[in-house]
Amino acid sequence: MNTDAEQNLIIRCREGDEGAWRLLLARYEIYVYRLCRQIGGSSEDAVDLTQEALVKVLTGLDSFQLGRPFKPWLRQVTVNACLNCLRRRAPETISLEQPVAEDIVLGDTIAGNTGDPAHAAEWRDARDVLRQAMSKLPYQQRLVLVMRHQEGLSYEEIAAATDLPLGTVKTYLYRARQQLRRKLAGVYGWE
Amino acid sequence: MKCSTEALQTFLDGELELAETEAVRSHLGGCPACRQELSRLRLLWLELEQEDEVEIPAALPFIRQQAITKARAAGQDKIGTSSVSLWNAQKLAWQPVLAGVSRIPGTRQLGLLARLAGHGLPGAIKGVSSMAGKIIGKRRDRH
Repeated sequence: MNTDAEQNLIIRCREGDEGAWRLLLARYEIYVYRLCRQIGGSSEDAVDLTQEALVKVLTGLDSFQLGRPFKPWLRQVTVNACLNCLRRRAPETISLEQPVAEDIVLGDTIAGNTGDPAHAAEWRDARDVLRQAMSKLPYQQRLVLVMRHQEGLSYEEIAAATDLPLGTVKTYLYRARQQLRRKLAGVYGWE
Repeated sequence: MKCSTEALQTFLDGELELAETEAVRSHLGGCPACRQELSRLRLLWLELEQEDEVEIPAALPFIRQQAITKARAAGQDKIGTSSVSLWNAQKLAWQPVLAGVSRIPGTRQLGLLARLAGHGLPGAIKGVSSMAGKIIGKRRDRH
């Protein structure tokens, strides 16, 4: 769909044309679902997050500035919807990803993570290991990772999209990637 | 420059200032440990940047329809609340009073009611009623 056709579709959506709503959502719902799946960390959460995000897209179309690219606006609305939902659900518990020292998080200090062969997991594909590790990260860390590596945003753009201070974005990215790097080290047998 | 994983990450992200980038490059030239770390991080970057195979749920069209229904309901709520003007609100607030006033009997009806009930009007009301009757009668005569 070219830009003009898309803008016309958005104008029809703003006028409350339900057929246009259907067309617009059908075009972008997979992108929204994928983003929600990555930020939410599980497919169960992703369904709820997607619905919430799609409603926000339709009800918030008046705030979209015609003539500008639609996808960044759509991403912003989706990120906001995800953050609102995830903040409401966030448990008041201490995360195992809580750093206790440089390069060491709380989870590493718990007895049982000893490398004992009895506890050793079977070798799995690095992708699966990373996916699972990502789903266990705090949602804010997962969010900045997705914004950086899947959406290709700069640090400043991530800060603007997530409403986080620039320093926090850098810290979350660093911690999340250190955690994932440790998981990868387990797969490849790095020291 | 000292060995720094954080600097290597920022270097890979392309977010270092020009001078910092040069410093990292020159450090890498003389530090095999950091070169090894950089190659490991590159592998991680490669994994993270690959598009994940996300299974799209079959219920997505249903989710779309649910979203449309919810958005439609939210839109109607908005229209419903915005159309209640100040005038409409005033009218609603005064309605019970106006309804009550319309049921206040006139002087003739008061007398008629009293006669039908088999009693005369009490003195004070009778006086007021006849005065009111005279005033209204005079006004009617003028027209």
